[in-house]
Amino acid sequence: MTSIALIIVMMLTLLLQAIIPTRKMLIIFCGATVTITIAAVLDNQSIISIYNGVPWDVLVILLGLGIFSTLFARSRIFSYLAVWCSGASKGDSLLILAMFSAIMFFLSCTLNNLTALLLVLPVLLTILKALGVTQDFIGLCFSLLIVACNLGGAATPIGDFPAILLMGTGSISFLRYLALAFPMCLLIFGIILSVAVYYHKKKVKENTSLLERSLALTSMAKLYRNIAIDKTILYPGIAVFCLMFGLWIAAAEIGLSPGVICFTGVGIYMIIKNEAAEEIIRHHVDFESILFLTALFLMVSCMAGSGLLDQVAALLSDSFKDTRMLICALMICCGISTAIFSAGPSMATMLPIAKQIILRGDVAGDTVYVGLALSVCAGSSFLLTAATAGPLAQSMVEKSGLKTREGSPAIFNFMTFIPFGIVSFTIIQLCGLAFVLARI
Amino acid sequence: MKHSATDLDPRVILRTIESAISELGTFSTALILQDTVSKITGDSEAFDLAETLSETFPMYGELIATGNDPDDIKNFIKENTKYLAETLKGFTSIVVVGIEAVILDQLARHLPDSIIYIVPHTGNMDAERVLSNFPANVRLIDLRDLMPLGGVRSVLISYIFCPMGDDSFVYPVTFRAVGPDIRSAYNQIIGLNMLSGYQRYLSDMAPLYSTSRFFTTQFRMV
Repeated sequence: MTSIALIIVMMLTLLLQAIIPTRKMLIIFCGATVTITIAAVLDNQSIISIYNGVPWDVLVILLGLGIFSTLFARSRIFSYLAVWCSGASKGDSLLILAMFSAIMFFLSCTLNNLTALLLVLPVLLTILKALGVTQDFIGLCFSLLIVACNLGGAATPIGDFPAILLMGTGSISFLRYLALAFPMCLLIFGIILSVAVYYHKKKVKENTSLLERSLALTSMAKLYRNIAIDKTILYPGIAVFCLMFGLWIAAAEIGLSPGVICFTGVGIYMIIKNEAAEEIIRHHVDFESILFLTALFLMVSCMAGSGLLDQVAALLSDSFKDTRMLICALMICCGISTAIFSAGPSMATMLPIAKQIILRGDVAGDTVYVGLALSVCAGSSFLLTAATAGPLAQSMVEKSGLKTREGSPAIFNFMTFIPFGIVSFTIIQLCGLAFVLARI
Repeated sequence: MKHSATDLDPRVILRTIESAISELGTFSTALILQDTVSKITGDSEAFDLAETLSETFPMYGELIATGNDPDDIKNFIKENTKYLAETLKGFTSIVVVGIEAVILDQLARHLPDSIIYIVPHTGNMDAERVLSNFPANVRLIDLRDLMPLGGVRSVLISYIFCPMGDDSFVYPVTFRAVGPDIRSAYNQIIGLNMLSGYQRYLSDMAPLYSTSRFFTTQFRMV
């Protein structure tokens, strides 16, 4: 009875927050309150045990990396890089597509996706505005950028929430995740980029003249004529990041949790750049997503405490006798639920189930975890609304006043993204399944 | 794909320089356009383009009509900005209405101890990007901040385009900035003369008749 009530509340909460994103904080907090009340009253779970089920280390890492990203971005290194890419592309749309998506992939490996987009998109929008590109190119370019963001985020243990959750809960070591996920994500990015290039050559008709390109590039160079990297932010940032990277690799040997390492590194950086850090903490830290995930973890903790997730894992195991089939089913469920509910809820719910399946001993944990991270990445790339980067890119394109070559307002929305989303989801999900099946 | 400059639709050219007009200024953009077109298609095409752009971007035609090389114009501005900076040394607050990057870049460097407040000539710009190109003594302000900044150690500067007799063109925002209320708050209102005389009506600017009534001093830049 309690299990059924918890499932109903959880599903209702996740559905409502997906349908009414403008009230998602209210909905998730109401859902968490109702879930905790049900677990405490009907299931006799203690509040302390519910709190203990929340992976606080994960929240600490998310908060720490958010502060680090915002502070490091102030060095202007990423804007500098984006401006350099605009010049190096010589105004060629194909090169712009390839270079900017590669930048997004590598930036998202270390920065959160929103910061990466906020840094690179203004430069890209300016060059596209000056060049005058077609609607086909706009759809392709921004869709590829979002998928590159998602893949970059999945490539490292600090790139995005699902990977941070895996590292923060100690499910997989930093180095192991990096060794397995990075080459895989890079390979998938290469495949998707090749598909995009093929599509561009076949369908996108750009006929920008030499003079237009030269004018656009000269304007760009003048608009960013005195852009200078702030080395007082850049160098300490690189040093602190290298320190954290080294400690994460050696975390198990030195007995420090990833969260403590993150907080130590970010703390040092904040002391070095104290004035900017104070301003960032007061005005720019994304507390909303931290609170959203805290409420979500409380709900998952209640469900785990009731034994519900064990029951789901047992049910899946009974339904799929073959381990390969079982993992594939779990991954596909994870991908689809991410497309509907977004990465946070999906990974937070699926991870405990995956852990139960791994405990049976038929399959190596690291393979399943990386497979799940790839499935979340596939789901995030399915619909524009599945990942936070999508709506942000949509709003930035709308606000920029970007126009097509024909002079009509550029459109990048849910429907523009869908064809590219379906192709990306299929490629990432199939590659993820192939990765897991090859290792079982 | 290679086009002649005059084959291009004027709207296409305007699109490529739209952000530059907002963030660098109309005159500075005309200078960039002349420089780029001359380098790619040659001086004669740069000259012919003036007619193509006579309605959409008339400032370009006025610049071309001077018959000067872009490098010569940059040198004039460099020399004259040095003199302008000497004139402005006694002022702690320099309020500039409108952006002309080709002047302000140098002026800000010549006057590191003064604070230069800029009122942009358009709202359609990336303020963060504009500021990142200037040294730390430059601030962007709004028209509403002009009055409180007035005083004996403050000076108001704006651009006078193509003056002919006492007629000229100014940025529409300048027209508001040199109104009687703001004029009374400043000891000096300097107009920077950009080009002289006009052959085309600068439709994107505000015409100003009896220019000398609005500016206490005029300073020839180009």
